[in-house]
Amino acid sequence: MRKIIEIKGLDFSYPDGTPALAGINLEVFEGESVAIIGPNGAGKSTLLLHLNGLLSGNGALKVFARPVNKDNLRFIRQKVGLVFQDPQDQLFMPTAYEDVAFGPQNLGMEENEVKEAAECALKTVGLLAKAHHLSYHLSLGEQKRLAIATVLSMSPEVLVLDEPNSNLDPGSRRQLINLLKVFNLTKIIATHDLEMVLELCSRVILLDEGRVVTEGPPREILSDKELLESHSLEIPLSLR
Amino acid sequence: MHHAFIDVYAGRGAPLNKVNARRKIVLLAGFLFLLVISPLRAWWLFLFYGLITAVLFYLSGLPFVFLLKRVAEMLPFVFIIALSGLFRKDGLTLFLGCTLKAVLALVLLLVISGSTKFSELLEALGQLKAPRLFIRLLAFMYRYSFLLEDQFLRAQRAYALRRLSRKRGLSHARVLGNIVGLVFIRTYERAERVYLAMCARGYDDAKNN
Repeated sequence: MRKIIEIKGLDFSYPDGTPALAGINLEVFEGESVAIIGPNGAGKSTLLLHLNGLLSGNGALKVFARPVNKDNLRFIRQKVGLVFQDPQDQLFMPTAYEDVAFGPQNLGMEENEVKEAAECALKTVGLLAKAHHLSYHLSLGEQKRLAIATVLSMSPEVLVLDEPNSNLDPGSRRQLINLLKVFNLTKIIATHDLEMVLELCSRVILLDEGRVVTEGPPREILSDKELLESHSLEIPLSLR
Repeated sequence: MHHAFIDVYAGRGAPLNKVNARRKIVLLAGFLFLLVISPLRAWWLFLFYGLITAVLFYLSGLPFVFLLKRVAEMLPFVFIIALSGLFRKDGLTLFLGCTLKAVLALVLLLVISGSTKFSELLEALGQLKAPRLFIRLLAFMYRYSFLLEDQFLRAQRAYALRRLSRKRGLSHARVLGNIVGLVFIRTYERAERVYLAMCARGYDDAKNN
């Protein structure tokens, strides 16, 4: 299996001195679905921001065997599609179509290629009919799916999602999970939805206070009552 | 919350809604230019302009009250500038002329922008080779104006719920100031996150501007 992401001894502190990540070691292989779980403020989002070079801490970070640095940023940002938690941050263009076309345009595609990529991505998430709606007027479920489409249009190989189904009603949540199931991409998902982890992921990484506490198969980690409760988590209902 | 206070009258099927946005912008620019260079003493010219404006207003399908409100909002600024004319030779003519020109220009702007969808307006500006950064800024302003309004209303509602006295004294003003500050800080932080989201999708400032 091809190693897609390799992190060795990653440290990061925010400019005000708050430490966020301390000595993270992590490997992700092609085709895996990795869940990153942990309490609020554990450093999940901060870690994700490193994966396509939006933040850069101390330590060795390689994506597709290339070190994350200025020269590789363009390559890495095309390969790694990062979706933010709040769709209001992710969807900054007026209409759905413009948002999905933004990435391909930056990749320097021709106009007809941009159109094709954008429409294909919108179709995948089931929003082609709403291409010219204002993203602000879509439902939250639609916004979350549109946010995913905005990176799908860049044909990434890794999908990095920050709480993809937070605040969704059960129906929209189900729709999103089913959508994620279909993708053959490598997935890295930060979430509190442990039921979804059981359903979608092949490996779990438990993060707390900026460190990797443990990692392993979902069923094993998510049934360890003591471990979970000591990190503000609890056993999902289906494993009790 | 659901609102489109900018585009309310843009898609109602009025004759002016159907005119190509690019054509409208060029027309507007030409008309504004004419308006500015027209000598004040040529009153018959203004009669003519007024007539055209009235016809365009009719074709735009905008409600009169909407127009009146918007013009009234801007009128104080117009007066402040026009007032300075009063102290010159032919002061009254200058004052009235300036006010008339400004009001005509305002009405035209409102008629054109009010009868066009904002997204069409942006697209047309792009086709007319307006600077990309300028268009993007306008697009962001439009996109996030909805959110900003929501945020402000929500903060205000939270305050109203816990506000016990109806007095509008200094403490009330202070709270309102806090709300404005809060919305400002949130907006600032959001701008940072949006910028990150742009970068994540391959945006490169150096190349795009």
